[in-house]
Amino acid sequence: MKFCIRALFVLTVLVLLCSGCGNSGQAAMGRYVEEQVALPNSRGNYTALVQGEQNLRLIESYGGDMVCMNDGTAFEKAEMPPAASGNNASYASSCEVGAPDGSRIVAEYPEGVRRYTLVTADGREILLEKIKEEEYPHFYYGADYFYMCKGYEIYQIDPATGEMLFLTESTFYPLYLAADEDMLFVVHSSGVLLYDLQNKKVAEKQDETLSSLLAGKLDNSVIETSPLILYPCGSRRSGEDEILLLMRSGIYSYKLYGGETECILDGDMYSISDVDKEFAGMAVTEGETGRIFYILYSDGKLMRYVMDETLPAEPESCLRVYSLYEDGNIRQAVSAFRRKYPELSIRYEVGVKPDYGMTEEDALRNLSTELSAGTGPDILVMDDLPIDSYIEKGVLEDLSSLRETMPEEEYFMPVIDGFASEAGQYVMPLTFAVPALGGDAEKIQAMEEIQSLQQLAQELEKAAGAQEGSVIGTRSAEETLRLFAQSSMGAWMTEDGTLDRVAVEDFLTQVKRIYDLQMERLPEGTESIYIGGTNWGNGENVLVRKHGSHGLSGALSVKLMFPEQPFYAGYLSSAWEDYPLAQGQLDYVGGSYRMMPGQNYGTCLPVSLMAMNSASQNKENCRLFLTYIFSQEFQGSTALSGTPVNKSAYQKRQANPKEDSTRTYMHFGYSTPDGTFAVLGIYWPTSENFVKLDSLFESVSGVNYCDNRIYEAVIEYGQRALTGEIGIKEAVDEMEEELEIYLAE
Amino acid sequence: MNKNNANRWLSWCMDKLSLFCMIGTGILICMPLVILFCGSVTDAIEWKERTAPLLLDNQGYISWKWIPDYPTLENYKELLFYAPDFLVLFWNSIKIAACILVGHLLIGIPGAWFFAVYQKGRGVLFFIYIVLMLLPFQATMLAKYIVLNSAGLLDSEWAVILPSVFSTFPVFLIYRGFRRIPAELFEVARIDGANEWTILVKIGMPLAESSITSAFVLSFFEVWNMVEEPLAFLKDMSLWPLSLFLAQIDTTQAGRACAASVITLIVSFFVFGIFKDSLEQGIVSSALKG
Amino acid sequence: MRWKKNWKYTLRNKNVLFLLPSLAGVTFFVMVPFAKVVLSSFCTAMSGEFVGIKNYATVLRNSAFRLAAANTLRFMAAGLPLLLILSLGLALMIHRKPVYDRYKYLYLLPMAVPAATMVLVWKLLFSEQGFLNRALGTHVDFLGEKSAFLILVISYLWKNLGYTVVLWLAGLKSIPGEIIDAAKVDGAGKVQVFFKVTLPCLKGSMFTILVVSILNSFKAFREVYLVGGAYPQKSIYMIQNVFNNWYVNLEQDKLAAGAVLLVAVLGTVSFLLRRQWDRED
Repeated sequence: MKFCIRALFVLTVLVLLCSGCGNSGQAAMGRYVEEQVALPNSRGNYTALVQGEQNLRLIESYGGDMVCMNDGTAFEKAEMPPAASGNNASYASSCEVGAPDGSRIVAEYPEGVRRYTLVTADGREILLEKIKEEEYPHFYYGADYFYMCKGYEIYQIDPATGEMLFLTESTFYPLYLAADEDMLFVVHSSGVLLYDLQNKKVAEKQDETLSSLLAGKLDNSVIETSPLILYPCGSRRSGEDEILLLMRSGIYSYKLYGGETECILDGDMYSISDVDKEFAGMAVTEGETGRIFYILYSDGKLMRYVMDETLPAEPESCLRVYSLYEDGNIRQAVSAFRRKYPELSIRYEVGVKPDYGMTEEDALRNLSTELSAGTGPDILVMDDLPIDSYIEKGVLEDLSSLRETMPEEEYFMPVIDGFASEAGQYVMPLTFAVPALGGDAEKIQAMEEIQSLQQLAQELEKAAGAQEGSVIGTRSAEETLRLFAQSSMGAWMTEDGTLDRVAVEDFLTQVKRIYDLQMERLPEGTESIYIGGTNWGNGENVLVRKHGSHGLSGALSVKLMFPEQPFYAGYLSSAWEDYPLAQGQLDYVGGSYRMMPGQNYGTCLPVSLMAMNSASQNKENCRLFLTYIFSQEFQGSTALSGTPVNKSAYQKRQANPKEDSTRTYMHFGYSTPDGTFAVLGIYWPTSENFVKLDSLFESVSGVNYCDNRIYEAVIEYGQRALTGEIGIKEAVDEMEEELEIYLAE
Repeated sequence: MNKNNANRWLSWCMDKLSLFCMIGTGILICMPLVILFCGSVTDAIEWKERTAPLLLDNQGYISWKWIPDYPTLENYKELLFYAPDFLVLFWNSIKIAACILVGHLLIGIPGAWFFAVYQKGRGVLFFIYIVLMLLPFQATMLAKYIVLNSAGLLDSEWAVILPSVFSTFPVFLIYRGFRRIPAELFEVARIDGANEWTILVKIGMPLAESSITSAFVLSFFEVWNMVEEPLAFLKDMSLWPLSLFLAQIDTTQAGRACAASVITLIVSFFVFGIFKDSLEQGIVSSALKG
Repeated sequence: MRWKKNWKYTLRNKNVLFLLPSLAGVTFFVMVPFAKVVLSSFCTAMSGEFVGIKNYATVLRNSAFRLAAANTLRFMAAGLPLLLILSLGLALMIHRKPVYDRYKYLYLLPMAVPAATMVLVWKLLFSEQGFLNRALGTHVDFLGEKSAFLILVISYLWKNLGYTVVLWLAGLKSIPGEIIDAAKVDGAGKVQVFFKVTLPCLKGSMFTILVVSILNSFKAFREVYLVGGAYPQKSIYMIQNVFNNWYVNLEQDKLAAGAVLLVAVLGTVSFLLRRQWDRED
């Protein structure tokens, strides 16, 4: 018996060893190649791609469907049953969903009233009466049936008879549906509900793993296209339990009920990861080298992905762009670059991957390894990386020659030149924001000369004397510190990179004045309530990540809560989440703004600091990339976080995106003092507004940059000094002690 | 007579003292483990309640109950069934550990034999073996990375397995075991006509069995819990071992973390248990046959 | 020279085949990297220019390095003797009463606990709101004060007691009973037997245990890192912290010089110990 166990053990080990050998060989070859499928011209846009037994069908809104046999190489116009082509001039119809055999459900508006009609494959029209006018159903197709979500109710519609069968009412609002012959997948915000179509009831066994994979992938805005497609590969009856998931991060194969998840296609290398596009449909066919994927994108392009075994798994000269944390600006830059130069391969790598428990330190260590070994990324985004250290070590390439090709008038040069020195220009910010102080128009007018924190503190004290209540709107020590750091942090470092005691002490003294003043006047209990509008933006907005939600527009939400408050402050940029929103609120409260006083007055906050690896093998392409992302073409066409450094791009984006400027651009919800929720209509800013904004940006004379460790140390110990736990001198002592080792190394 | 009595009394004292120390140490050793185990059957809500003072950083204290109010196996269920990665990582760890231990068996033991019997621990080479073993990982991490990169081994399991297989640590431990064997035994065997390999397998290994076992045990725990090597050399996350799953623990996920730790502990002991038995059996029986 | 002759004999002897696989691997995976490190200790970090012993001078003058070296020495001076003596005591007790022998594997449990879990337990016990504070009624952050050093030593003892005991036991068992009986017959008392007979026989084991314990004291870095990050409390800022931070900041030159210095120190210590304790008796 023991012998058997031993033998088994040795055998297992040998098997494992062999399997290990096999694996590492295979991984190196084979890569999917993305190519666009040529499609004949169509009248409208292709809105969906559906797959039948024999064919693929591209659904086009006005009946110009294309169909092709399974090899997907040639699409031809499909023969449509007469009624569906919308030739009848009395009403316009648009296709809500279609099936591969040509049956479809169209929405029609005869006399302005919406109704839905099922057009069968042989051309009969069946009115779907059960749908009332005020309901907004969404339709999906799966395995020979149509499915409809009406609110929380889910129905199955027979494409031949139009019969509507009520299936279930989902507890969560369904955001996406997919089906095969015996299972219906209902995706909602918290996961997925599995429904057994054979027995017409909710499946007994739900799939928690799939739920956790899909939770949060879709937000509540449901439109025809989505950033997720669920593709069942076959039915349970035929023994198939694999489904394919198409998401921005790639195509994944997943075996139901807790099986393995395998990444088949890495989205980063293809258009799949473009944030500007969504998916309108996916189809899968078998080819010689494996599966062939077809993806229809929301811009009407159909892409085919074929495995090419002869290519190495990693394209040889792939331009690698790296940032420590996810940066929305960079993601857009990479997508746009890929669109413009499809023959070059580019890849965006993010260092800190939160799902797998990799910390910032680990990511930094891995990056250091790569850089030291000479295999580092080509483009580095230096926002969270030690710039001085890297420059000293010669890791970064001198970009002065690139800078010289940039015409003076076209850029906000002081922002870029903020990182230039005699040694060279190694870093260039892509966008920037300006710390701003806002307040009642007359007060701001009177404060024109004020530049230092001390003067600001005096002004605030004066204003406080005149009325009750909050003065500047901050509600905690940390918030106050981070706010005024926006205009001061550059002054905290000396020339040789150590802490400037005097400057930090002065900073803390003044901020403490303001903090004490604010805290004693803040009404009881308001420190911790949530004020709607103060956490504007998501994690990909680098400004929010670095400087908290202290944008001017967020600060204005607090002002709306305390109408008597004379001042409010935060960073301001031309991005639509910042300026138009802020201006709308400013108009409402009768306020104005100016640059925030501080120890480093006149500087801006640089965002997305671009640098090139001096050891890169791809320098030509790096320059191409950098030239492109600083060009007006890119900066003027995308919504970046922050003000674009390219002035002409910034001016171009001053045009109202909505043609009709008398209508509101957006609505902003906020909390009122009496606890209710109100909505403010925001109009696009006028040209006078923009003149003032221009002058703010033009007056920027440099960048406000401080080493991250010093910054965090000041904030951490500064808090204790502000709340009075320790004295200011002790706080600076502690900071010095903590930084001692760091600076000594 | 008095001396005898005194001796016996001393003996009795020593006995009681020994018992006390053993039990005392045993309790001290087990206490954190008990904390872990209790924590793993506590559900997330109770954890939150208890560690609230820690998270809010206020003046309270963490409360603790040895047996939670609502014991639950939820944490384990979550890990084993719902987290798809756990099993993949688990098998990765097993694979890596098995390969490394086999490597020690085939490569480390003969190496130790050589140093113990033919060199008797003298010589510069063995000295280098010892000293280089002591270096912390960061010192040679970059150089190892470059070497592995040039051999094309990066981003495969071999990047983690091979350097550990050739670690000089087990050689060092097993060397000690071989050294203890009196040289006469070898002479006798040689006279009897046995060749060196037979001597190693039939005499050396059984007699040094405890050293070999302890070397393997230490190696196993070392490999099972290694964090820096896979993090540095494995970019592909599907190859990561289980130890990295635990790498990021904070008190907000304490229940899961405890459960994962308990599972890791149980598994390492289970595997070690099987392995130890078969190893001992193997060594002893091969000796008996000889 | 004798060792040259020895090597010539060895190489001709086909017994060297025992060593070859190990040597091949060790050369490639351990010695070659170390040789690279030695080479780079004489050059600058990224550009690779030769600068002679400048890096060594910088490292020796560096106050962070000196602090770390002092702390590491302190830690070993505190931890090693305690560990050796305590574990020897326990091993002797188990040796006296063989019935306890099967429990020795229980002591190995702590070794199986991953560092991350240890840190969780530390946090529960020693943080400002932890159990220790609860017992004492205070709110001291033990991990952020000088007491962190003590916690580290205790944790080191806890973790390594187990296998140290196992190793001592292996050594104790191998002492031939006849020698002890002979000593007793000669009239030696228990204490004398211990110091004059047992201990000398254990010298080889002591050497092994010391080396392994030094190795594991370096491994304490993982806990330190998880608790204190890259810049923990001053008293537990160890050599590996410095190495880690230099690594992250691309200061490969200082790192290499520091590593070579460390090897030199360890080498000297091992050499002296070996002459004392590992001679062929």
